[in-house]
Amino acid sequence: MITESPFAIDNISYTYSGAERASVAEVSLDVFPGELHLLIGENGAGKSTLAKVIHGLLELQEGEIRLPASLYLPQHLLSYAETDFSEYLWLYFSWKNSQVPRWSRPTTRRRILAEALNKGLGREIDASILDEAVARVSTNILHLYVSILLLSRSDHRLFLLDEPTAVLSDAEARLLFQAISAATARGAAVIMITHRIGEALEHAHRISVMRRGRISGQGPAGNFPDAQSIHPLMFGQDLRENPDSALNTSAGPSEDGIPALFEIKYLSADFPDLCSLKDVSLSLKPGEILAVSGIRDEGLEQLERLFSGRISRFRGSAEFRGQPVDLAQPSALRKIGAGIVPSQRKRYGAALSAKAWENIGISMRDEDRQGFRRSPMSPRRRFKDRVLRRYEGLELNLDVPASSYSGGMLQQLIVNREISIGKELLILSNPGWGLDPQHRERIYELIRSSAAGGAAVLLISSELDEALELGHRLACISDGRLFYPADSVRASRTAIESVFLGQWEGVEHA
Amino acid sequence: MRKAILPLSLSVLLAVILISLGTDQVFLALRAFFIAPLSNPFYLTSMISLASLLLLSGSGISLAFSAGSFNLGGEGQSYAGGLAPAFLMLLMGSRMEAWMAPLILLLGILTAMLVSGVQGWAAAELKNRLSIDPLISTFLLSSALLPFMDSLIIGPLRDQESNLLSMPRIPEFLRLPALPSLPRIHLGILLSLAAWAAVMLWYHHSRRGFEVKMAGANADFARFMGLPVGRLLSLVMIVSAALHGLAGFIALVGVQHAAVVGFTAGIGWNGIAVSLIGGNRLRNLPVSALIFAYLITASNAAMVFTDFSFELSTVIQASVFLLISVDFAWRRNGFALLKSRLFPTSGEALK
Repeated sequence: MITESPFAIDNISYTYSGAERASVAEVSLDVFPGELHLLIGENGAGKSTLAKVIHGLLELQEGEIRLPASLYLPQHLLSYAETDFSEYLWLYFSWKNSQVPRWSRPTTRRRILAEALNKGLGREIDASILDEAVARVSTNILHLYVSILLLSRSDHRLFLLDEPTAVLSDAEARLLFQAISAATARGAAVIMITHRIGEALEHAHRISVMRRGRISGQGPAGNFPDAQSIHPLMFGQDLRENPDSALNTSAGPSEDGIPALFEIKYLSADFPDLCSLKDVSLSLKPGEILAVSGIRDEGLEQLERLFSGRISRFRGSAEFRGQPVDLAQPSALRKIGAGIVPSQRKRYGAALSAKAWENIGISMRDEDRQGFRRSPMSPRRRFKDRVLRRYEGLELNLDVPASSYSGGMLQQLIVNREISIGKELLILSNPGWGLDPQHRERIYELIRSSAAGGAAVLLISSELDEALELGHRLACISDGRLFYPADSVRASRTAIESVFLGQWEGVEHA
Repeated sequence: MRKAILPLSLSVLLAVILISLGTDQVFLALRAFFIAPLSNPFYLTSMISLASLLLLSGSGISLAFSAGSFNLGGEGQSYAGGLAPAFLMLLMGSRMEAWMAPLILLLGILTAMLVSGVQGWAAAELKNRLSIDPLISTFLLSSALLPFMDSLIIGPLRDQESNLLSMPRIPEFLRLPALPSLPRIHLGILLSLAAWAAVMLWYHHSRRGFEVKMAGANADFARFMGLPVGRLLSLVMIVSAALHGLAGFIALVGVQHAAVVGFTAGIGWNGIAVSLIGGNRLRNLPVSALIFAYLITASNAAMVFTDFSFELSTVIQASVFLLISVDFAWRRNGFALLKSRLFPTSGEALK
């Protein structure tokens, strides 16, 4: 397969304006046509910066790039709320694409897109989704469809994919890898940044590992039999065995007599773009982590919208400490002190143009009310100092704009902030998204500590591994219904994935 | 602020070229353009007085922009801010006495801020309830109000004893105190600086100002964090419009002393240029207001001292607007596509 002379990146470096050290330092890569080349590294290692330099989004400062023009899938897709999904996809699909007509009617574009998606996914899509507004399309579908369309373009020989599987379920990730295989089979090179190393290793031909802006290891995939063999190159140390996919055996709160802290009762809601939520009930006790997992469109996205106050009409009720909570109000859960981590972190999790400390300070503005009043001279500075003091344990420079953070760093900031807010109730959507194993483990430890400290945690995750690792109890959501599988089912991934797909025959549930 | 140097320099260069082409007295005109605003007491004080008004309108524009909104209705707001107190004073007529001046001026300020603030509030409500962009609603509201207010001045409120298209002049005791030898250095300048400083303090150092900033940076995020984004927008638009109203009031009682047709002389529109020159940052506005006031005053001086046949100041204002806007758009992303076509890099920007 790998016979042609390689494309190459020679000795390239990139330093952000004002930064003390280079984000990418003297990096050289050999990229072969027809290969899936994994780019792996901890958060802030320089992977996304490297991809942006290769693609030309950042200006090449040093070195040489000998690569064909690339198509690039950023880690976070910009979302134009008022745009039709078909128009949005067309932007990606038609950009300098000589294979599509330069002028076309909307119906023609929809047909072309649907055909390309059907071919790329290997199954018929529901074409009505193309008429939806982008804001109503779930994050995973947005990423999957854009990825599939980019990879289907045979007019390009190089694809740069930044964390394309981060929000995808296992089944969706498999579809994406099929499309990657098809692209590499026709001779294209795919450079893919990922933290989901295990699944990517199965498909990769070559791996490059980055650490602090430099390449710490590179070679054919055969040299790296498993994720553990890569960790020392990422972190410069051996990580302890990560309990990947292992069931969490800690029991959570033991006293059955404890009343529920947070309850949802028979909640139903209709969504124009997604399946309805149907009589969803859940109950959380202090110290308990309830993990809800499934396919994102089958109920996770709906739950997240509900808990972030984006749904104004629903049936059923919510209670906190026995008192009703009006989920239709965007600030209702905030008023009871809940910490909420959204899955769309750049849209709902942070203001990128503001400083990182301001993104944290927004949660501390009430407690600093007196500080603002007491000193007319420089309350802003005192407020800032207070934020920095409280978060001094965080290994992030908080005095820079949040836009300078990598995706993983931003996620650390958001998760830490929300855990700090949610002393009693935490609602977390894919908290490990975009984090390298080391930081992911730290965040998981924080979540466990919060639960141990008495917080009730609702974990909404499309990653089954995450749900299994963190949850004291597991609930599966499928077609808008919530199920609680029996322990015997929990022990089997296959059984759980069957539940995700709505196949309950022969599966026991509690 | 440094980003404005190039467009401002180009505007001055354009002025020099126009002066060179438009008059036989080139040296005299250039001398008037560059020296008169700083050496002639009349032009110097006019420049400072104009800058104080522009500081207020520029603050209103910058504040709205910082909150992620726009206020293009400054002209109508400042006009109403001058006209309403003038109408109030007309109603009170001979019942006003000199000892009441401070109270009447205070009432005038409140009236000015109220009638203009209502316009800002209306734009915010249209946004909150019907998702109509304040960029459009403020502009349209102002455009509708301006001819209506002009018709009031020309029609029922006109001073019948004057040849001007004007309401009656306000009594002497209601004019803002000024330096005896320099009548254009009036109390309104201090009032403008105080209002600007108050807005600065509020925006940068108050809890509510911090919330406004965060809502402006990302409204979805702010809403997600529990901030009342709609109410914050209303607050900012009211304050933004009220600052314009205050500028209109100072133009009335400090400069014109009567509501003449067009008495605000474009301070609403020029506030946008001042805000853009200052990079939409409140702290830069005193300098940017002075720079813009200098350009206007210098153009007027060049016209007066020579045989210029056209409105040089209007051309300079237009060129500053155009060049600053082009520069602004270029630095953001409006021209990114054009740039990528003209100066292609190794890849194709899809992001």
